[in-house]
Amino acid sequence: MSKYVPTRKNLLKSIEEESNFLSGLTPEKEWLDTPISFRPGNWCHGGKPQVIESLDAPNPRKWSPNDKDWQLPANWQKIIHQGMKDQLDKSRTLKIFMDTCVRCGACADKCHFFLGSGDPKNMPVLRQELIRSIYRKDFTLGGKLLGRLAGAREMTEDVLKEWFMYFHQCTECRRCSVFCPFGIDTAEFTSMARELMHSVGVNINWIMEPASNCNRTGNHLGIEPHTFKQMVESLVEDIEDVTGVTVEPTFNRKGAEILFITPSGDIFADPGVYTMMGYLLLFHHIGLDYTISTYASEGGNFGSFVSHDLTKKLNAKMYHEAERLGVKWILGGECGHMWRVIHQYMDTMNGPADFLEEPVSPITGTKFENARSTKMVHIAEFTADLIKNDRLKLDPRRNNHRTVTFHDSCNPVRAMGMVEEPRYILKNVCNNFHEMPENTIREQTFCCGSGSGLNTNEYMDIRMRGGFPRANAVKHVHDKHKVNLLTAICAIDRVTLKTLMEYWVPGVEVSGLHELVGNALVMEGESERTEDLREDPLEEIEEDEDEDI
Amino acid sequence: MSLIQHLKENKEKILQKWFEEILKTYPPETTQHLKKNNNPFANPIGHTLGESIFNIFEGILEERSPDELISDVDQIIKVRAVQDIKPSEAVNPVLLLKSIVRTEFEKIKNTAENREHYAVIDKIDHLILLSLDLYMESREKINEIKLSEYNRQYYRLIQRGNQGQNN
Repeated sequence: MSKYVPTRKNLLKSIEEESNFLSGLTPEKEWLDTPISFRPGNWCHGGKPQVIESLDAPNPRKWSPNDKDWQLPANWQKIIHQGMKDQLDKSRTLKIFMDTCVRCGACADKCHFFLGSGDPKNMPVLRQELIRSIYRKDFTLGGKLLGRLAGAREMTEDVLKEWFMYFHQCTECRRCSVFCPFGIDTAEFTSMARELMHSVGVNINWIMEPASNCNRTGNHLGIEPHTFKQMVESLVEDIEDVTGVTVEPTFNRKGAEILFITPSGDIFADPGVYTMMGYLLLFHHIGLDYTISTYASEGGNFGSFVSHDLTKKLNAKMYHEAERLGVKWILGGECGHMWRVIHQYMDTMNGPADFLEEPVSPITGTKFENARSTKMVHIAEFTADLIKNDRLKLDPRRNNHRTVTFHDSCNPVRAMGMVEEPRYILKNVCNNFHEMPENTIREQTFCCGSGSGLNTNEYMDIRMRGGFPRANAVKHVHDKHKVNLLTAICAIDRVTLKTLMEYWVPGVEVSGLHELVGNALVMEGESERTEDLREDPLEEIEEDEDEDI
Repeated sequence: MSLIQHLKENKEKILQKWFEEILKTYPPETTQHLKKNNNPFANPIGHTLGESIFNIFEGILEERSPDELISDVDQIIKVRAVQDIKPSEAVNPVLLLKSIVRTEFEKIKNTAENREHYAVIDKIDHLILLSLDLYMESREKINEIKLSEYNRQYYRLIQRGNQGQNN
């Protein structure tokens, strides 16, 4: 923000002449003519040339979004036009979405970025208009003939800059789509816009670099296999310190029954690592025959934030690894967009995965018929099934120091309907659970404000603004029920909600679901537990006749 | 009639006016939403602003000390701090009440002779806001140089940690 604070002369001029509180003036122009302005805090760094080169992606160069000249290819407008034509030809849904919106406004006040910023271009309908206006000009008769009267406009560099700003103020969370009477999926517009921008070299580094790392090394930070293994082993030591139990994960083991894939944030990020410790305890508890891959060492699909081809490539990597190791099926950890890709795209992109078997829980015998084609099961579903069949020894009192609420992560809840399983688990592993208000949870959940590759720190202003509706609901249960832990089943959530809470609701910590499972699990041969997995002291448990745990 | 008494009697009207003045700088498409939607979770900005100004005004009428109103002021500032506005605009909602109260004061006491005085006071308010922008500029600069010094100190370490990426 410091660079944004203007010089004294400009400041005085702007206070007196521009629309603001002091001058009493309001913006005069229509939204379509209101230009954007890049200020530190409201844009992300552009993709670095070496990163773009490593992916053989178009137009690698050193550039910054606040440069006047974006160094676009000479024929950039043609590339965008052709790209839009290709996408419209390929995707019938997109064509329908272009033409069906009647601007009823049902979506207008549903976007967390609109609710947190008050900027009308964040109304999903207007964000879509940023593209529709070009579609009309290029592809409809009315738009070609009537131009502005029909809501059409030329593709210019200013429009491209506007796209860059507002399609990076959409986290592809799809809350607005829940309310659209036509079911128009705004995330499809954002995907399309990002892919078109990418085709002329306009993208952000925080998406491109993780995508490049996943492509080359297997996970988004580019952690090499030996380091990845060491990191998991250090968690094994921490587990031993807290529980006295030594868990024994294996790596790249051929012939294991199950391949376990989770976001790499669970291996190295705080508080994701505690969730990883929970998984490891769970697998040890039930004696699961599983292995972890150091090559498919990332569940998150950063390709899905930028292009179809990259999504497909990164997704395929997981399946190649499952085939190479000869496992029967894949168990997936608490991740967000990994599950959107698996549940909605994988089958037509890389599936069906016929070389794997239809997933069956080796402990309960439950067939996961919903994963018949993708062969990949969500850990929440897997664990809920274990609890339902009474296969876990749990002592929920070990989470008595936590008063918990649950944040439905956009992708698992809206892209795959993972609604009740996490709640069922929570109610079995802790005693103090309170829901946030109804219009902020389940399919109406509010995004963390930092999803879809926007969780970078130069973007903090926008992130805090976009996360406000979520934080506002957490504040409500924090004030009313003294909630002190926000639990979520997404690695981006675990990192970004913590920051969001520090700003809006201090006093609320963030955790994954399986961290609480790990706390509650009564392990065979364990030492007396006095601390949770974070090594925070447990509340003293009064032993009574209720010993049948 | 005392000013406080007058303000108490016109509380609803004054709050309404105050709220509308605050909403004025949002684009018209947004103002409608902020004004009309009463659900605190569907309209977090409108709700937060509305609730905070209500508490602040009530605190003033009950002659509570500003220290007791800090959490409500904080709610407004937190919201405004992450919006695309200058520090002076972020804090201005509080000053807006001043001009509303002055208008009310003139209704019960003819203070035409004080207009000149007001003009000077307004200039001072203006300068206070300018000072805030400049103060923020300095504080932000401090944070920026702290961060860049940190980055320089650990440059090699970060570079080493990043080995294996980007090549």
